[in-house]
Amino acid sequence: MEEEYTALLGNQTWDLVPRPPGSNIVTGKWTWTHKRRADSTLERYKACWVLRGFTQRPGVDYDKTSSPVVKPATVRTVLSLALTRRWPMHQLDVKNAFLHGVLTKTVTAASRRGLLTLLVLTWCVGSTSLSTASSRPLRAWNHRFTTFLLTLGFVEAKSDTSLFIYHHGAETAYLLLYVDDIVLTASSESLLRWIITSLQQEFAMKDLGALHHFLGVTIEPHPAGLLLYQWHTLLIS
Amino acid sequence: MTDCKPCSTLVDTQGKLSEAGGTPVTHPTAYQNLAGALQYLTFIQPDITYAVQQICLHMHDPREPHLTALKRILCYLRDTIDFGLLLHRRSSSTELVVYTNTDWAGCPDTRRSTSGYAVLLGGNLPGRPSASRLSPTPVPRQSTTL
Repeated sequence: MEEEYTALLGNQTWDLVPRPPGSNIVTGKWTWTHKRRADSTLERYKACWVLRGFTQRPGVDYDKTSSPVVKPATVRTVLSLALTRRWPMHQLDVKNAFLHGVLTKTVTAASRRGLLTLLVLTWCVGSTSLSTASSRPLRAWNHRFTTFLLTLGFVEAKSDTSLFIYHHGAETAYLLLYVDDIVLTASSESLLRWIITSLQQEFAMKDLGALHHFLGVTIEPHPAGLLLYQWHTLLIS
Repeated sequence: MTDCKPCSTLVDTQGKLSEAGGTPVTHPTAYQNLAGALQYLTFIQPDITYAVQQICLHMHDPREPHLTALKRILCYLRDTIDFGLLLHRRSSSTELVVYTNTDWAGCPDTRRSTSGYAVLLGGNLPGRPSASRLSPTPVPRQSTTL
């Protein structure tokens, strides 16, 4: 919990302010969840501060709620291309993806007594000190990441907004984005390195090495190519 | 359904499901959840795409025959649980091959035609999965047109 809280502070997630008159207050709470690895085994227990979304008002606190998702056909096409051309495929993981987004709307959230012990900054008034929390959701993260990719020279694919293409001379790279899961493949090892390094300079990001899991699908090298399977998910359902 | 009798085919080739036949199912939400999960599964098992698409046509008002068809898919999955999708590195070409077929005026309710297609990239062979867990890499879709 402290780690998450430090991350929230490190990203300057909120400012404490007195209650703005006439504003809607969104309440929040801490939740405890199981963080699982890509293959669904338990990695660690994690605490998460969430805003209780149902206390928001449409049009005031938010307007659009969707975030682009990747099309299966795109994933298969990119994997197939990279495989045929024998390009290195890497998987990247973004830490606290949602905290990287910059929210354009201000959301005012109340901090309650339980949280206050941690939230003592400059404002600490009774049980409901208020913070103008920029809760930074999915959409905002997606926007920020996309914008950064464009500055690197990537172009968003026309057919699928989660596919980004980099063309420079003879060099090509494809990047697939699904929330905070990223698959990157490039025509050369050096280009791949350069992109990963550039991304890491901007975002807290882990290079998980050669692609092994994406969208709950296990991806394994096979003598004839690449094997995709989902037995784990099947057994659960 | 983990103990169900495995089934080697996933859909009845004779005729399509009609919209209004049979009694409404007792738990439409369960039907919708399962259909949604199956839709997700088509990502690596493109062979079930058509059957799942037929199931999804009746999401809004599932009837008993639709549920039977859905269970048939589950039985098929029981039999093919160790299938995966193999992307071949067989050739270096990135040739694009498209197969398409149409069932003319096949819908029992509207007499609309159903068309489907499979796109193959890079020389991956089309066809049904063999007895092992190898299967081709088609990108099938279903669409309905007049």
